[in-house]
Amino acid sequence: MSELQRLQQLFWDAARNETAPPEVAVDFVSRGALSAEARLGIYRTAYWVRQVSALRELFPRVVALLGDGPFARAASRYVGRHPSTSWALEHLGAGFPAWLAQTERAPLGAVAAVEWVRFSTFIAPDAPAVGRDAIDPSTFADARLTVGPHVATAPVTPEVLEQLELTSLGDATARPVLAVWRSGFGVLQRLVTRGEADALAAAQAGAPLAVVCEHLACDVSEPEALFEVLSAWFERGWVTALAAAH
Amino acid sequence: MQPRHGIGLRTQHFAQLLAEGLSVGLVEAISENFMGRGGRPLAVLERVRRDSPVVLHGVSLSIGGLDPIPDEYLRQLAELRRRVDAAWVSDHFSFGSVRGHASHDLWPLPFTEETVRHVVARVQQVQDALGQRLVLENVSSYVEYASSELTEWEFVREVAERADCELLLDVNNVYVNAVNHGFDAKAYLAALPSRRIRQLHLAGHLDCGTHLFDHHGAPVADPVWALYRECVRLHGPVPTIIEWDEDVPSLERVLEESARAGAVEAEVLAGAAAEARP
Repeated sequence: MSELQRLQQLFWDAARNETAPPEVAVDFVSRGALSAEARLGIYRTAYWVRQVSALRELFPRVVALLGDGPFARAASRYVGRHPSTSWALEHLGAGFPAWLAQTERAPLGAVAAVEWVRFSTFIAPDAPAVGRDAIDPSTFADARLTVGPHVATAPVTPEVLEQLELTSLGDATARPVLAVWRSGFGVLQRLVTRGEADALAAAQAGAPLAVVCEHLACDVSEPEALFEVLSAWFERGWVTALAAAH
Repeated sequence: MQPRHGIGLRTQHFAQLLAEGLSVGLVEAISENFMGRGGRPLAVLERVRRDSPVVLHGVSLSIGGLDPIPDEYLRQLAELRRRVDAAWVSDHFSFGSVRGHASHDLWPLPFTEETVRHVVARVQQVQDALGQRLVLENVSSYVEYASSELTEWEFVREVAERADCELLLDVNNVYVNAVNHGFDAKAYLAALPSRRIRQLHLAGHLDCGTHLFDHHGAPVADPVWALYRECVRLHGPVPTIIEWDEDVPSLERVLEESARAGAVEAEVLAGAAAEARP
């Protein structure tokens, strides 16, 4: 291990742990009123405050439901277990809903999952939407739809909708998935069936239209109804490319 | 349009900027807030750059870190630079990731020959990826390494010369570090080569009694304005950005602070011109 590597590891340990390793007193300079340990404490405070604040901003509804203090403690435990591995601070939030579902209450994790997809769609890369007029009826059956990254889904229950104050969206028993998408600079949402959510996931994974339709057929059997669902995808700006399947 | 004085782009002003745009000498955008993203943030940046030159300022490069710089990070940074036609790209003399984990902070480096060699190699890697000189900023710090062999300004100068990169001199950070570590801020400024200084930063700090904390949450302090005067006297006019990240005031207030930088610079240059007259 090089000296630079040793010092950087020591810095990390001092910033992450409640008590700084004893080597800190040797490797860092104490000056004036502040010991080396107290000086590293400034970085320790900044580390935890910054990461917990980022999670607080990403999950305001979870903060409201849990309360600020319990949220800060939960967020600190999460950061302790899952330190950020991305250059983008916000990516810290990606694993938070699943962790929250395991360690707190499952519905709270589901609320967090909705907040996460809202954020993700809000900042997703731009992808111009394709209109319905791009459809060529003679080749549509073999086409491959691309649904943009500005569309995402999260499973919900009636309880979760209540916690999100979204009961006006409808009955989450019949339509247990929330589809969230960016339109202009705003984020819109609607409840969809599990079949439609699976169809969306298949389209985002690059599956051919036939596979997408198989998922949709779980809920609608009439071809006209199925086409209506797909047409709505175009109208909402979800479809960003339409290509012939090979 | 030649870059001049301006401000850092902050989300608190996005609605106003999107509606009205911004005509100012220079706008600095935090790279990571726009890399690989679309929607409103990118639309704001696109709107602003119609009337003002833009530069990118990163916080996650970890130029002194030991983890490899992610190819995807450099790819997205280069793409954003092209997209917004950024005049230059800057980051910090710091490290922020350790064994694949990100601190999301700008941790100071030990000023040693080993660190100089390490940073120089990484700067060259970034410059190759971007196809232009990287600009690096001196960070504020609260600790010093016992093993440092160079002063901070010697370290900064050495890296800049050997890596052939440029400097973003944060005048507030020089002042904060001078107080925290007990050195002469003017000696720091005087030791840097003018031709390497591409940009300046000004910001507010917090006096915690035992140390100064670089919180970017207040107007520029008087001693920092005095140091800025000295900087202009020594190095001439350099594009200057006002950073304001905590308790962000109105856009007009931040622009006022930027205008003050312009006025101070003009005053110093006029004084120097008068002195030079026979």
